[in-house]
Formats: sequence, C-alpha cells, structure tokens
Amino acid sequence: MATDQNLRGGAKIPAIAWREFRTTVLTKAFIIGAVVVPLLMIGIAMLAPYFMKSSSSIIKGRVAIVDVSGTVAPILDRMLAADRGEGPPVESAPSDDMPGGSLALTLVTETDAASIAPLREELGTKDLVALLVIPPALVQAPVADQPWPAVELLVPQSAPWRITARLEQLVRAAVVDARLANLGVDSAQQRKLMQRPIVDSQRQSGAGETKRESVMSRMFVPIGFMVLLWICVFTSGHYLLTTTIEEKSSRVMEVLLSAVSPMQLLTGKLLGQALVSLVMLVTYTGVALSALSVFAMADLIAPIQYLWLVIYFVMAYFMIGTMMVAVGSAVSELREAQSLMTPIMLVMMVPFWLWFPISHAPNGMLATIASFIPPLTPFVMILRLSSGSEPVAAWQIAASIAVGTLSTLGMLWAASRIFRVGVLMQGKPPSPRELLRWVTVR
Amino acid sequence: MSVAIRIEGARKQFRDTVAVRQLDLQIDQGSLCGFLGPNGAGKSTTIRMIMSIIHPDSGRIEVLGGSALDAKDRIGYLPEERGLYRKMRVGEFLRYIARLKGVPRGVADQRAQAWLERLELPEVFVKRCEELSKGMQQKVQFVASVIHGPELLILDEPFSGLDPVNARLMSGVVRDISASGATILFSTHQMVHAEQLCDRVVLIDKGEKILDATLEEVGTRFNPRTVIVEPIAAAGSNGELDAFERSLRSIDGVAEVRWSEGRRAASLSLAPGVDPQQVMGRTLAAGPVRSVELSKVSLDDVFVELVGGGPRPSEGGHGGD
Repeated sequence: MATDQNLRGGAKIPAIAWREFRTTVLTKAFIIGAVVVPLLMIGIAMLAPYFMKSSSSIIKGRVAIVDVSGTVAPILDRMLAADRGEGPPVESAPSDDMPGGSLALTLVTETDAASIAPLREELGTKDLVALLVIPPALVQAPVADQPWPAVELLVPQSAPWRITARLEQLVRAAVVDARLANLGVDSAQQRKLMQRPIVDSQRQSGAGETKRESVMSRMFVPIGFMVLLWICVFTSGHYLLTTTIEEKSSRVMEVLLSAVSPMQLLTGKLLGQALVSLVMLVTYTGVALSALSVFAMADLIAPIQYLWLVIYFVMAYFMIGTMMVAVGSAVSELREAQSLMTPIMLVMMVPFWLWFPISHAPNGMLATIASFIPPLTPFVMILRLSSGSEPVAAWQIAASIAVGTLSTLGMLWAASRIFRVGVLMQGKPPSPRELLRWVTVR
Repeated sequence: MSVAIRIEGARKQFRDTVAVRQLDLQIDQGSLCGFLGPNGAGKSTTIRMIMSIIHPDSGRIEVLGGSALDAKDRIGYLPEERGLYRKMRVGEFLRYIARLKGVPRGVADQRAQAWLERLELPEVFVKRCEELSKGMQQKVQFVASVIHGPELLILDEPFSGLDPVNARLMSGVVRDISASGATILFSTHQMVHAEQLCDRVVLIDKGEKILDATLEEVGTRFNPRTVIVEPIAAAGSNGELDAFERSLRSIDGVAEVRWSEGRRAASLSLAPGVDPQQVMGRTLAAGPVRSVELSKVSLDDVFVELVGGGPRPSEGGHGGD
C-alpha cells in the first residue's frame, strides 16, 4: 500500500495549473469568445472598406438644375462628367471615394424659374433623381450683413443618401467656383493660395533622432495598450472566479483539499489562468500588430513598450486575479459574487476615466499620484509609458514596479487567507467586513 | 502496534458553536474503526482536522507520525459532500486526482480502469461525470480516494446513497483494503455497517467522545436489558395470553411487558440491577413457552442509549485512551 513517491508536492501545482489552463482554453466558449470573435472583428474592420466599395452599385439618373444665373450649371456639369469618368477631374471637387455606390448622373440645365414647378412634378419619374434650384443671389457679389440664400436640393423619398451627399458636396464647390469666376479670380490659383501650410512637428531625442508627433500615438496607442491589458486580465480573472465557484458548488473542493493545501490550489489556479491570460495577450498583440503593419503604422509602438506591457501585465494579472479568486472562494454561487464584485468593478473602471487626462499630461500630478495607487498602478503606468509624448522618469517606473510588486504580494497573502477559510464555507456569502476578519483569523 | 491517528485535546469552535471539545483519540495502524455519532456531533469536523483541511483551535493531531499536510499522498479521503467536475470525463477526473496524489502519469489510467472494473463500472471511464447516477458518482469518488493506494483511508458516510447490492459490494472492497494492511476510519449513521465491518467503534456526541471500544467490549459492557419470550398458547386465545402476561408482570425485576404484533412474542424490560438469567429461569415457570432468549445488544441500542440521554457507562478506554 505504499504511495508512489516520485511525484511530490512540487509537481502538484503544475498539475493544477495545467488542468485550469486546459479546461479553460479548450472550450468552445473560450475559442469563440476570446479568440475567434476578436479576430473576426478586426478582420471585418480591415476588410469593411473593401467590401463596401466592391459591393456598391452604380447609381444612374438625371439631375435637373434651375440656374437662372447660368454660371453654376456648367461647372457642376463638368464635375458630374468627371464623376462619370467622361471628363478631366475638377480640382475643387475631389474624386468621389465615399462608400455606398459610385454615381453616373447627367445634368439637365434650366435657366427659367418657371420650370421649377413642372420639374418638381417630374421628380422621381423618367430617371429624374434630383432637382437643384440655385438662387441668383448666391453667385452675385456679397452684401454686407446679408446671409447667402440656400441652394434648394430636392430628391424623391426613396433616393439613396449617396445622391444627396455627393450633390451637396459638388454644388457647394460649384457655387464657390462660380462666384470666383464672376469676380474674375482664377479659382485654382486662389485655392492654392488659401491652402494652409503643413507644420511638421517632430520630437528630437537626446541622441538627435527625430520622431514625428502623432495624435494617434499620443491618444490611441495608450488606450489600446490599456484595453488590451484590461481585457486579458479581466477575462482570466472572470474564469478564476467562475472555476472557483464551480469547485465549491460542485463540492469537489474538499476532494482537492484532501490532496493539496489551499495555498497549492490557489497557486496552481493563478498560474493556470495566468497562462490563459498570456495566450490572449499574445494573440491580441499579434493581431493588433498585424493590423498596424497593414496600415504601415507598426512603428507607432517602440520596442521598449512591449517590455513595459509584459511587466505591468504580470502585475495587473496577479492583482486582479487574487481579488477574483478571493471573491470566488467566499461565495457559493455566481449570483452571490455580484455584490462583492461591484466595488472591484467600480475601481477598475477608474483607468478608463483617467485615459484622457493622462494621455494629455502623462507626467501631470494626477498621472503621477494614480501610478502609486494599487490596483490602478499597472493600468495607469501603461497609459503613461505608451503615450510616447513625454518620457516618464526612471525613478517613477522603478517605484511603481516596487509598489506594484509589494502590493501584489500583499494581495496574494490576503487572498490566500480568504481562500483558506472561504473554500470550505457554505451558505450565506460573507460581508466585506467578514472577509477582512478572515484575513486576520488564525 | 504503531499509531495511525493520534488526537490529543483537540478543540474546534465556529463562532459560538463548539464543534469538537477536548477530543482524545488514538487509532492503531491496521484497524478498521467506525466513527459514529448523530448529526452535528462533530464527526466531519474531526475528520477535516485529521485531514488538515481545517486546524484545531487547540490540541494536537498527529497522522501517520506527523502532520497530515506532509502525508496527504499516503491518505485517502472520501468526504461527506460528494464532488465531481460535472463536465469532466471520469477517466480524466481520476487521472487528475491520481496526479495530485502522487501517482505517476503512466500508472494512473491503469489503476483507474482496474478500480472501476472492481466496482463494476468499467464502462464509465469515458463518460462525463454528469452522465452518471448518484450511486455511480459515489463509486467514482471512492475510486478517487483509493487510487493512490493509501496507508490510511478515511471515509465519511461511504454507504449513503448506495442500494443494498452496491453497499454490499462496497463493504467487500473496504474489507479487502483493510485486509491488505491499511488503516480505515469511517463515519456512518448506519450502525449495521459498523457492526458488519468494524473491529472497533468510536462514538461522539456534541463534540465529545462518549464511547471508544471494540465490538466485543461493547457487547460485554452494555448488558442486554431485554428478555424475549415466545408462548406456546395460540395467538387467538386471548384469555390464555392475558393470564400469561399477568404471570410475566408478577416476576420480580420485570419492569415492563410489551407484545409484538399479533402477540406472538413478549419483550420483558428488566429493572436496573436485575440478573437476566434469574428472570429467564422464572419466565419458564410463568407458563408454557416455545422459547426464551436474552436479546443481543445491537449498536443501534447502544447508540440510542448513549445519544438519546440514557446512562453512560464509564469509559473503559482503548489503547491507552
């Protein structure tokens, strides 16, 4: 009856971790929810413009214009001809690249205001898809303190939105061109003169290297990194919560505790779900990088940021994971966990509220203080470090890692105390005060 | 003989409730001990303390020469609250528990299969746990508690939920494990199982040990207090039976006479301090009888007497208790 001695306590934690990992990752729910859906969403986002473009049809029809001045219609006619591909592009009306279908409209010009009524009646029939009425005052010399009259654009009830959108765009440009022509100004030249100069903002490092300033990298890379961290950590945290509750409610917990200590079980579960979280992090980071590469924007992320991501991911995972597993051990049903989860979720929404102020001022007082408040530390630090606009002081990075590590160890200790008592408790869930008592109980 | 479990002055309190108070217990290696007591007596708490799942507030517990934490791989445990991973396949579950108990990967499957066959469940290896009946789940749990070949096996209510056929099968397996040299401690409410299997019983109530004796000692110490008399008189002749009852009641030392259904036999409850042999002799003179016998004490009687508030015999002690 001797027990096999070649697999001692040290191998139990990997066995628990592996089961936790396998039973989470090899489920349809995980594969579909955590991998397939995000990949599909990114794929759809990348392919959507192509599909919208290629699936669009050609919208044909006639557009009637009542232009008493006779100056707008010829310009609009050239513009519509360019849209149909039958004439040279008109500089004031850039080519139509909006999704929803390309236009092949021909212009019917009337200069008599009396033709408005019959054209209105005809609208919607005989391919007449729009009626434009240009008030003569619109192209005359401006009168001080007098607003310009509006162009009247009429389309049938069922007209595609593309027609109104494109005609609004073209008629605005045509009216401006007509006004300039009336004043004898070369519209092309005038447009060139009016173009605002481009300011090429660059940041120069100590080594003399320059890097282009980018709103994208300043605002969206930080939130991207933080959301990545948040999703990976919370998904695994939620799995920790539910698997612990399942082990309690199915009463398998006592069987496990007859084989391993609560600390071994807790460690194994945390490590197993850490692996799950890591799989998600690698998958999502890979997908995001691929997407950035497609748009030639991979250089938005400096290589050092991946190191910060890994460091703060580990910190964030263990902070959130310990809280989730402690809550899971204290309750018997998922429903009961809601009351204990509410304060945790409220705290964890704080990084989202801090995104905007921190992205604008990564070294501001708010950002600096929030960096040292666990469990916000990893989320705030990743926001600051990935904003890229202002370097974070090295001492702050070191201090945040120290604070984060110490508080993670503290939370792990507290969670192990709660776990040890909670896993065998059944019945009414404890209050937060009672949880604190469990931490101090012998 | 060396000691498998030694408990000295263990006490455990949950808030205002004292679950176990000053418990002393010693289970010798190789013994098959029944751990008896009413609901809420503190059996499961004691077992959990033995398993180091919870720790006593005071006192000392030694299992297989040390702490149970260091000997978990040498102990098998079937908890009162049965638990399986619902979605897990039986083979996978047993493999997992075997791994946690220190069984090498290559051996775990063979052992699981062998145990399932022994418990007449060879077909469930690939089934999901949720597909099994309650009795089957219980047997799978039992396999999980013995798959690593423990030196000490602790079974909390191992027969609850089993039909008579499976209970008998389980009894045989428990007996075989005991015969192979393992120490077995099992708690039960069903005294018949304790009588059939155990060489010793420990009874606790309200967290205190109130009996610790071999079955033989129990038989000796709890003198039977009832004599069963079967009259020859026909069941229908009420007049004769009434006369017979009056004679029985007149015997010195008979406190009460109760008839069985149909008045086939009468039970004579004896007054305290009366010698049953004397009453049996006088019964023969009370009228024509088919048989007179001294009722054999059952664990049920002992349980009811001790837990139901009857006089408690002084503890004779066992193995140095």
